[in-house]
Amino acid sequence: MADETQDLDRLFERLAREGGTQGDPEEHPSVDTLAAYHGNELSPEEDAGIQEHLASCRRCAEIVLDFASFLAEPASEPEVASLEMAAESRRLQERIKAESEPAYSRASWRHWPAIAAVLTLVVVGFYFVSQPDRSVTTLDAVGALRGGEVEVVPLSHDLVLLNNSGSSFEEYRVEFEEVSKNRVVQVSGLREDRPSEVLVRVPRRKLEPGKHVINLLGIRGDQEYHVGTYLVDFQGR
Amino acid sequence: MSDDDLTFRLIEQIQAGVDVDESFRRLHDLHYRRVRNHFLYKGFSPEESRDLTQDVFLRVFKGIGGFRRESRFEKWLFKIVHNLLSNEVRGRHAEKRERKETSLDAAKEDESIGAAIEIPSQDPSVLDEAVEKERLQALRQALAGLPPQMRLCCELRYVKGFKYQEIAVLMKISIETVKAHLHQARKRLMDKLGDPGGEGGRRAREHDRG
Repeated sequence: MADETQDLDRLFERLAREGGTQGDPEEHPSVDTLAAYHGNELSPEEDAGIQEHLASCRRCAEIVLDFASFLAEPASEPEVASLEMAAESRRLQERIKAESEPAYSRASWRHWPAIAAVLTLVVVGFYFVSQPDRSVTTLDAVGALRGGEVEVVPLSHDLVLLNNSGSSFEEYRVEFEEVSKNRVVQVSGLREDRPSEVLVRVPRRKLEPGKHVINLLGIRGDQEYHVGTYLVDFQGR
Repeated sequence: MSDDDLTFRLIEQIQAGVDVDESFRRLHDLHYRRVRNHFLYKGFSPEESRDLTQDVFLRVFKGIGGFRRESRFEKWLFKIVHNLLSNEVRGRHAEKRERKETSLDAAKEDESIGAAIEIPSQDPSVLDEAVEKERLQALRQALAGLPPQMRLCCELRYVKGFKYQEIAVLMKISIETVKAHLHQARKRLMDKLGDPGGEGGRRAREHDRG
């Protein structure tokens, strides 16, 4: 019996070294799908498919385990906020204020003291008059959080494309596809400026105002992978 | 009011531009510990965890205008955490997190079975290798013949090396069911594979003697 047990363990060990019964899968479900699996939001057939995948894919199994442990963490009690939390909250507010135009800034400005608004306008106005325009607009991929919204962006702005694909690449390439003229302008040799953020210097001399589909492609070895699609309507020059 | 209700109410206020700073501070405080602890759990230092948590909430702030109530906030938050973690892990923490099992009741016997056992290599001869491959193929076939859930438990435990608790989460079954599946699977597999000192083993030993 002990021999049989040892023999079975030895065979399993060898099977593990050889990559299991199926080998590593090439396609993976999205993080959303894995979270939906954990939350019992899939059909029994989909569930069975995910379970088969998890048995052969450590990466996706780790994501499900991470999600489970993330949910298992209790939420904080706002009433008993720790000193650390309060300090971090203040630090975050400062960082937010330092960042370029947040999504809700127009709404929140209504609540600022009038003097702060005036001072801000003076500073911003001075900036636009005295500096070449190097503003940056941050874009989310279509279908991620904002659905299919077209962002209106001044052609003078550079872009930060958020990579929400879950994969990071050493190099990126961007295609600007002009919708009305079916013309494509490319920018290569891009890298992540910050984690999951690809800064794109817009080739404004080559582009015309109007609607563009922007495709972000990640490069790994000889292969290119589609990372995200972004919709913009360039205005002015 | 539940945490979920409070979360959605705060998000609605932020999206409507009502009392944004205070609402976002409360949203941050409500979910701060969950995010920070997750980074700690993933092996980052307290300082790194605080910085990464900041980055997460900065992204939350930037993207919250597009958040839709159909989705659970924690799911959306996790996606941001996961994306950030993917980049960080690639850059700084490639080593796997330590896999220490907290002892389960009567788990010692069970846990000693399987992936942890190391059998010294015996430099097998060509015939040994052929026999070994045959037995490996037999194991593959025997595994394929197991009921799906039992087979998947086996692969997760003995091939991938996951812990019982982890398998229970991955398969969405109780830890007792995992143990029962594994116990039953080993029995069935050993029956199918037969005595290691049987025909195949004998052939190999005779070859060694000859």
